[in-house]
Amino acid sequence: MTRSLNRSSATGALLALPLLVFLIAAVAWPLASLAGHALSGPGWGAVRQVLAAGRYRTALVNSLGLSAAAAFCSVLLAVGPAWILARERFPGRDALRTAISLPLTFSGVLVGFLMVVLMGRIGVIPEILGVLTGRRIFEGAAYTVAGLFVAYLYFELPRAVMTLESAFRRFPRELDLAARTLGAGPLQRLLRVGLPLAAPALRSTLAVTFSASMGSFGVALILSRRFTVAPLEVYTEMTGYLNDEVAGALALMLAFSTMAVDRLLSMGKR
Amino acid sequence: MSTAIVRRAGIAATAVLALALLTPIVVTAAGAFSRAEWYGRRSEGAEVQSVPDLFRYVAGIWGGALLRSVEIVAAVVPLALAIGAPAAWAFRRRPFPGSRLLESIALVPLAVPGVALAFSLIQVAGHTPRFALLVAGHLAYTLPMVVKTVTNAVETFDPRLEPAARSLGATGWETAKRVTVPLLTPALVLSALLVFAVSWGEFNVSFLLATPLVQTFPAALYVTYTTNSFPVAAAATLIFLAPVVPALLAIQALGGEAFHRGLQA
Amino acid sequence: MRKTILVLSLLALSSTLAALAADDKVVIQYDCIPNYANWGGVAALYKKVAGVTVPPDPKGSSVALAALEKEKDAPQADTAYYSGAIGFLAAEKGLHEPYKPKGWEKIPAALKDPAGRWWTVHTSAIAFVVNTKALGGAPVPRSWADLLKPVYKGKIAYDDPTWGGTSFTLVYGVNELFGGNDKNFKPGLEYLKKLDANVSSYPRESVYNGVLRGEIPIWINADGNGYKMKWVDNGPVEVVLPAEGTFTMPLVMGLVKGAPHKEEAKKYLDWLLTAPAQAEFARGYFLPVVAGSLPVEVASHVLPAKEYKRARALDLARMAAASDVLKKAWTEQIRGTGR
Repeated sequence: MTRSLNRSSATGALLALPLLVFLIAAVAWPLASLAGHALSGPGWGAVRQVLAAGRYRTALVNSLGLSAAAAFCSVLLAVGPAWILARERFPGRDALRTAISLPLTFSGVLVGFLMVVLMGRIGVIPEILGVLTGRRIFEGAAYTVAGLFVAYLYFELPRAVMTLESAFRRFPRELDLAARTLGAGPLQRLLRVGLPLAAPALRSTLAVTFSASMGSFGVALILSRRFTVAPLEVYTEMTGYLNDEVAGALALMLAFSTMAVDRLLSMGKR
Repeated sequence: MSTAIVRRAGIAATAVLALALLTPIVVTAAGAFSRAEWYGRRSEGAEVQSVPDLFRYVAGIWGGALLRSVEIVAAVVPLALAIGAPAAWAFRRRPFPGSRLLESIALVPLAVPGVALAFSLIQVAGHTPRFALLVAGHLAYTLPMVVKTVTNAVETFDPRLEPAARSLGATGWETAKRVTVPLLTPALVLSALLVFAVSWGEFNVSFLLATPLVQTFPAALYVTYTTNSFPVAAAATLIFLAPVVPALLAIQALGGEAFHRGLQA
Repeated sequence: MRKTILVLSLLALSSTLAALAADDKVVIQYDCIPNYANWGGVAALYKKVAGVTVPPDPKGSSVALAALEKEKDAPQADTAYYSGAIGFLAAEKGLHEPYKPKGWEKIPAALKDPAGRWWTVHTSAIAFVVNTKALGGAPVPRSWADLLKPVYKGKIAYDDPTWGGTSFTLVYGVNELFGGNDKNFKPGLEYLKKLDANVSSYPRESVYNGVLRGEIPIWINADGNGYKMKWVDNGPVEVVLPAEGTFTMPLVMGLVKGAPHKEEAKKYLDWLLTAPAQAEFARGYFLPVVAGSLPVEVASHVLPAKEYKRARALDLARMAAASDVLKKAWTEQIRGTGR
């Protein structure tokens, strides 16, 4: 028995070995090296520079704030549709789900571009509103912080809806039925049965959307004017100023803060 | 009564969301075929006068990037499956000390911003060919999906099937080929499609790792958005979307449970 | 099994495609923006004439310089295109290999390095490129002073001077115009700080199309781009040379030291000085260096010569020497904290 267990474990370990090797070589090692560079000698100065008041710290704070707001709002907006898609049957449900999941594959630049098409200075929305009302409302809105936020929402909503739908699908129907027989309306069922059950799923969806927003680079590349975010600054420092120390320190802080929040949110789940 | 109303309201809200998400794409697609006067002037002047010209122009300039994206996907999909699927199966059927830990660590790359990963890869392996670094970056973000999808699938089929085959005299290899793989095929195909969809659209890592010779199509998309006119940019966007839409439809068709499990964080 | 076959055939297909693509000859030029100086047309013509692909590259002059420096040990580029001072700087830093392309003699002495480390391919001047339709009723600005008026708030853009050479020329030039020099940047930065109130963004990419579409009403950039927008793309654009004065700008190139495709690069650089290539640049309204002027057909499209009298040349050597300090000062004082 022990021998077959050992053989079984050995086989398992062997099968999982390439994954381990890849994770170490392509993720853990580069990140550790990044940390090493940033935290030693001249790099340490760069880290202090990044954390001191100024452009870089603003970028980090902007990233954190924007990502948190986008994650929170997208999860909030996603709960309803996710619940409906998971629990209700109606004609056209699959079509709706396909439509909502389509933007999942879009890169940030595409989302940014779509926003410009809609709400740039000569976007479709200002053009139409201009013709209808004589005032070009939302002209240039894509380039404001609000516009950036809307773009992030567009980027995150499909992810949030799909992730939450998976979770809601697993909820046992019996609980639902029981609550219904006890007279609870659909809203009450959602609030008192659904949401508490959903708490872990909500947390992990928050984690996923937050991480994706923090890492998002393309959206800001296209849309941001004065409002800067951390990935943009890393890119600028790297390619424009050849300032690898600051770029490295900033990249490290960006990675560290994202991973920290992600772990915090995922703690206590399974 | 109120149940019906809430239900209708919920469905309406979902439909509105779907519409809101689709509209920008439709508008942009229409832009590729639009008259220049409506969206602004084309700046490619005499070279681009008709719709087929548009697509020819995009393919002419960005054909290389398109090819590179195809090559990368062709490398990433099989590699992601080869590295991720056996490990995922092992996590459930041949657990070993540390397998739980490894399984959760496999998900961590999703929390690493692409820019940071790309920067650290350049720092640590600057002389490695860019193509290899690109594949590595893409793998980091697609392996978690393969692991999740396959572990979930393994959980669903009867754990007695494989030992039964063994007891009937099949070797480990034969069992894998004739029992495990066929059972896992839907999950493997689904994973392949997911990996394809993600890798095709990956920008964060790819943009930083791009060079004029080795750049992916999303990186080229960025350049068209800034330096080309709207109809050209829209045409490039359509070319980008062309393989992705069927993949997503296929995921939905195969989809149902398996799709959602693959996405669960 | 079927899956294996599918996968293998996909791999085979892509390798074949890759092999086919690899046969394509390439020359890598850093800073090859299709809409700037009609590089799109020039590259397309070269592909037709010589079968060699010059892929577009969105780097601005300074970013190209930074990339060349970074890749010193293993160069990826064959050549680079810059706004005068940055090219001069690149040559000073030893990033270029001396080379005198065919037609060298035709380039005026002031527009090339005697040793062949850099030379001008065409020239332009700094101007306001104004999309009159997008001004929304505001009058077309005619001077640097005009730009400070509140009516232009949010309507002005110029490229980040730490990214693009045209903007660096603009920043350095404005400083000289207002009484500064390569040691004293205060006058220029003071003006730019005031201008900052009206600036919507400092793009780190080509916004040619943005201006053409009306996203950006006033772009301070090369006059050639403005003329092209007006005459080739039929945009509602007017080119204005500011009343107080402006600056001419040579656009230069050099052969990168250790270029991976050196022979092809040399042929390309030779070709750029030939009549067809120079004519193609002229189609983009950048003055060909060989002829020194635009062809007769298009000469009437640009502002008359007397307007250009107030465009002065800048000293490339001094600009290059001051570039790091000026860029840093601009970043600290103008770009600020990214609120």
